[in-house]
Amino acid sequence: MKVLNSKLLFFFTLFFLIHSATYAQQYAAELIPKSLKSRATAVVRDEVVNIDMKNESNISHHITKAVTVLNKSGDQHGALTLFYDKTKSIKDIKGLIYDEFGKQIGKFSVKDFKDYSATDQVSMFDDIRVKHYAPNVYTYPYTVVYTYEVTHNQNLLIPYWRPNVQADLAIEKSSFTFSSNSNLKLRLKSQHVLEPTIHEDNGKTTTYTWTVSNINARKNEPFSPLIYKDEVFVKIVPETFQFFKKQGTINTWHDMGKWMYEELLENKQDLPQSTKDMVIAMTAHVSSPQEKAKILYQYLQNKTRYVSVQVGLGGIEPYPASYVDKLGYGDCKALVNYMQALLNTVGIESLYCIVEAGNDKISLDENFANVVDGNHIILCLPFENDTTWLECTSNKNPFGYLGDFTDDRLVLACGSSGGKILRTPSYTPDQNTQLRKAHLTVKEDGSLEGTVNTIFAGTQFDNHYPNVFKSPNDQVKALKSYYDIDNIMFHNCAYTVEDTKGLLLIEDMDISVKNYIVKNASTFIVMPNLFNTIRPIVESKNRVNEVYINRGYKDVDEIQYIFESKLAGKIVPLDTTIECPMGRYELKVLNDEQGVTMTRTFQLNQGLYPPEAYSKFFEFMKEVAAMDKIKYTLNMNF
Amino acid sequence: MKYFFSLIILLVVVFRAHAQIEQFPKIQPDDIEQHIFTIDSSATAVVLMEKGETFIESSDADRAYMVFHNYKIRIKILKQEGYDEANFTIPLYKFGNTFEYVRNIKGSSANLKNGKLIHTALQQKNVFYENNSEYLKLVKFTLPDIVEGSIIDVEYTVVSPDIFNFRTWNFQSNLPKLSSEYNVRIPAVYNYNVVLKGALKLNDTKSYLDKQCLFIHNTRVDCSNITYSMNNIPAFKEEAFMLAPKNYLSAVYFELIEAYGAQGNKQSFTKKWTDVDRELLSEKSFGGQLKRGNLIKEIIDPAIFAITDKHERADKIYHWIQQNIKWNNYYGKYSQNGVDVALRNKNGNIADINLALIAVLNAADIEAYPILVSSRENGLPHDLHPVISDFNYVIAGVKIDGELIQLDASDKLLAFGQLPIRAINGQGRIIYSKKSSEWIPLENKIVSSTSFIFNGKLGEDGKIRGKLNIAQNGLDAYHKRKEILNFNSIEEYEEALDSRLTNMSLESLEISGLEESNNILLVDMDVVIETGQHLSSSSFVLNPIFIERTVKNPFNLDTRFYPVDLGARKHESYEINIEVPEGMTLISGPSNNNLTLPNNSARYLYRSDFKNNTLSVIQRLSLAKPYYSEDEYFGLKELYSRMIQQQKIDFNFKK
Repeated sequence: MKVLNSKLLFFFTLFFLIHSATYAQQYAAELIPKSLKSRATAVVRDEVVNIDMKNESNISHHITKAVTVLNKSGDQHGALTLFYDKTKSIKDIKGLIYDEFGKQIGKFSVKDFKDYSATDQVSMFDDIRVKHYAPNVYTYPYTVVYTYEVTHNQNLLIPYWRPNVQADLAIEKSSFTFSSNSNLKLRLKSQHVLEPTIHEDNGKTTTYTWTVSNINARKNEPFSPLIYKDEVFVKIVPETFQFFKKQGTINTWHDMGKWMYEELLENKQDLPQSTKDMVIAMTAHVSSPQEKAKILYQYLQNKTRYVSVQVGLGGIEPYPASYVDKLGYGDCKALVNYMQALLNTVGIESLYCIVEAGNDKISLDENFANVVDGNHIILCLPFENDTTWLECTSNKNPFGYLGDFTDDRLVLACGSSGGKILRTPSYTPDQNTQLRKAHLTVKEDGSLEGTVNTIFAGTQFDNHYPNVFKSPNDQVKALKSYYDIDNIMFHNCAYTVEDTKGLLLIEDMDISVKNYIVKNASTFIVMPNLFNTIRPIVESKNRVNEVYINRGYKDVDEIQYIFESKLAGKIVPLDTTIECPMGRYELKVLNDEQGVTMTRTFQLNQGLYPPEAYSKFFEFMKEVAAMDKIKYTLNMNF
Repeated sequence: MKYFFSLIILLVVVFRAHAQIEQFPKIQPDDIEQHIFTIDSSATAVVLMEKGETFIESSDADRAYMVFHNYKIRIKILKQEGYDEANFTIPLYKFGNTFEYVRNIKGSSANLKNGKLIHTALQQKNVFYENNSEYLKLVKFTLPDIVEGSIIDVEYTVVSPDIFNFRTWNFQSNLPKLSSEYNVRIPAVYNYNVVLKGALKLNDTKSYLDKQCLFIHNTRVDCSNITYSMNNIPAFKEEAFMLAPKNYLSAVYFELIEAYGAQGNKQSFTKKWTDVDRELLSEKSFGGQLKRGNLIKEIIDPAIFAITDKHERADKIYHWIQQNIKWNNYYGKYSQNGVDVALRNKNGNIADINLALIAVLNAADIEAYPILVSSRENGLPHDLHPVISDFNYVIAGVKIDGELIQLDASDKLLAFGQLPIRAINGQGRIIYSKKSSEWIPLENKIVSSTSFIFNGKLGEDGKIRGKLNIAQNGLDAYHKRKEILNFNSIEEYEEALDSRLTNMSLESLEISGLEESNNILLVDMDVVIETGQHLSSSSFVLNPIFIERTVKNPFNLDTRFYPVDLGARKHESYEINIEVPEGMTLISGPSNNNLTLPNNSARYLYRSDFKNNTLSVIQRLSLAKPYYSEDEYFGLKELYSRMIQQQKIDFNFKK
């Protein structure tokens, strides 16, 4: 039997889905297997995704989907949010809405969609738009059945098939079909799905089909790994492609870095001669490349600012250096390229690096070169034994500092000799530190007065660094949220940055806290751990996922309380340690006639732990949270 | 091509005639070097001068009269944190089928380089036009070459078909301003009521009669040429628990009272309330909708109309509307689709829903009237003159046995007589008839309340077992219902709650009144509380406020400029009884506490008792007003502070 071509197949499916539904009540909610409803807010009854790569600039992408929304939280799965830009157009949107019993109660088409610009608040300009439609159904469950086609004019960015990426969505059936010319070599990566069925049509077209069925929704568990390990996906990238009229062949990250360099970066470093002369003059008095780079980084920080203007090729091509030189602004790509141009002028090599930025440490997929991974650009200076990284969009970052936005992950360095996978610097808990010393006098009415000195390092540097530049009023506002203690007042606050052995931020302040220590008859009620209290984490019974701690750190708080009134009697000294694989906690409380001294150390260890370790972590955090609130009733001689 | 060319010339010529804001003084090197401004030593940027002017002209390009809004500003960038002030976004709105448009965008930045003043101009190719949505376009640009010390000049003209609108001019913004000046040229065919809002005073108002300034309706008419100016304007800073900032920002507002047409015919805009009442009730999308009650009545269960008790009948109708029209997230005092279409499609805007409610109530022989509301973020409405455009929301006012009940059916989770926080904003205008209306305060009659009752027993194992009953009403219940209904099922909520309560485990959970928004929401739990102590040790410490204890003070400002608005009165109470094993004696505990703010506006009470082996604790916090002045803020701060301190004190027992 001759195999139907994919387009025909698509129309048959569509016909079947929509037509038969009007008669047979196949979308009645009661037909959903009971097991699929557990934890699900919506169930995909049937989904057919079909990508037909007719040629490198004409890719048709059909989606036909029937989804039953079970309750209010599932409304988002019944709605359609379709993004588009210059590389794609959306057409032929049609849909029907059915009630609980599978009876049709509504329909919609493209005219019911709202069309918005999808430019985010931080962007000055990009060309992303969105079409949105939400069926206004009030009674649950209901079913939405729809179909639409997206035409892509490039074949480097082909949508991945990820049917169960959303945890609260169960799948009754979903299939993905991909067809392209049999001569076109594809790179394919799939996970948790059976091998596709493959059809060849006279050696001209090859069609792959993947199918999954009966996938349950799942519970979101705290401290889960960033990537769901049982996710089903198929990712396809053709070896040779076309992107904004640029051709390319990419098999590896090496190829990708080379293509990026040759097609998008080379020849972009067109600094005017006057700037070059100035750069050379500015750095002439120092000889070491590090020192030169430092001067140029400072120059960049003073001259430019970050403004997001995404008008290059698909948001991946930087503006030339001359542009930044003239305007004094640019997005991350443009600013990195500009910094590279400055460095080049004085003969310092640097690498344009693609990174997935964000607090979560997400690496590029090491085994699958693609342009989807990564959303930010940073600069790497491969000095001998002293690889230095620069965040070029910050006016304030100290030279060579990467915080929790880009630390400890795999990035792609692009250069003339091809791409290289590098890892950004990581900080151990001993490097992500917050060391605090406080000397406080306890007044007769229970108020505190004294000094607090805190040293922040590693990624904790970044937590407080922005405060350095705030106005006094805003500084106090921020301090009140860091040190959220009732009745606290900040009298002086000074910051110093030290960069001798690693970067340190030193915060010195004078504080007073009215009535912190509660006076009850002739006693003082003291909770010595003033600043740093851990909140217990939530329980996670019947744990399925591994336990993931994204970033470790270490805090030490040493607080000395000196009483103006004399203590009558002593407290029992405390020296306790709590430990588990994920962390360690120490609390020491000592006293003498004059006062009480508390030393608290808390360390969290980053890493991946087996699911059953969660209960240990939970118990640990619970005990720590309880110890953190330790309270003493002291008899006083007032 | 020739045609195109001449058009350009024409535009330029026409435009030149309008671009009348005088040049700002030339920037001097000293201006760049000045870094301290006494008006606000911590500012990241400061507006050195700002001028605007608005006038009406015949626009040949549009073949219509248009309003021209000329705008010009000079900003000094003082710190890197102020760089964003060099980014501009001009919104353009649609009126009817016509969009506003922007012309003559000019920008430049001035810097000192090697002692020389350098000006860098904004290039037109770096101005971006974004079609944000069907009703909104955005023009965005940023100025080149911005460093600390830069001075930027920007000017542009917005041409608007909305010729009745002389825009509100905000003297105050997030930046301090040295001077801000607004000039309007109002032709005598218009009569405006000009209102200055906010705490700051104008420095000067200049006005003169500009003879024959506009050729309109085939005659030359005079204009009132008025210039308002204000100097040394501090930046506006928002605080928590306040009404919309626009209620406090210093600004000048223009309300059109009347306009004269070509034949000298007068069209009134804002007039007397009786005129507004008549017009609204005659308007198809307002009063017209109120007549559809009998139409809708037919699709409602007749049994509802047969209920004899008026209160109950009104309540049933309210719930029927709640269940049958879903709010589409649009506000509005005018019906968007018509109430019958809204009912058919089961969705509509605020007016669709609440006008339908009023219509059906009337059809059911219940006195109900529309109440015009300005939503909370829309700012307070004027109370001196009727300004119909101030209102963007409508609710229902029902009179039963002389009592007025305010209703909003746009949310299923609201109780009969409860308003959502978005609709509580000063006063609303209730429209009784074409001849009569009055102001009434918008308020939540239902107090926001939560009460915790716990009865338990301390076992020899150091665990307290007992029953915890949480009863909630008003906004507290509304928020809790929302939270619970966000879960797929009660079981999933129970699971999440159990994992969140770390020192307490849930043995059972029962919720009643979850979907019946009129009733109190009750959450009953059997719980086991771990004290982490053993009774074998000689002493035992107990702190009975173990759930949702307030540890952070919500009122933590050192200075307060604006009043506090909570949206509803608030009560929170704990009644806790714990039976301890025989032989335990109480050594010490917190003393009783009773603190009241002046005029009983707020109160905190803590009382405990140990009798028959049972520790009983009562704690109550009540905020008796929804609204407190800025001076009363510190009373609230102190009250919360005392409560936080009181709750730190434990009960110490000995065996």
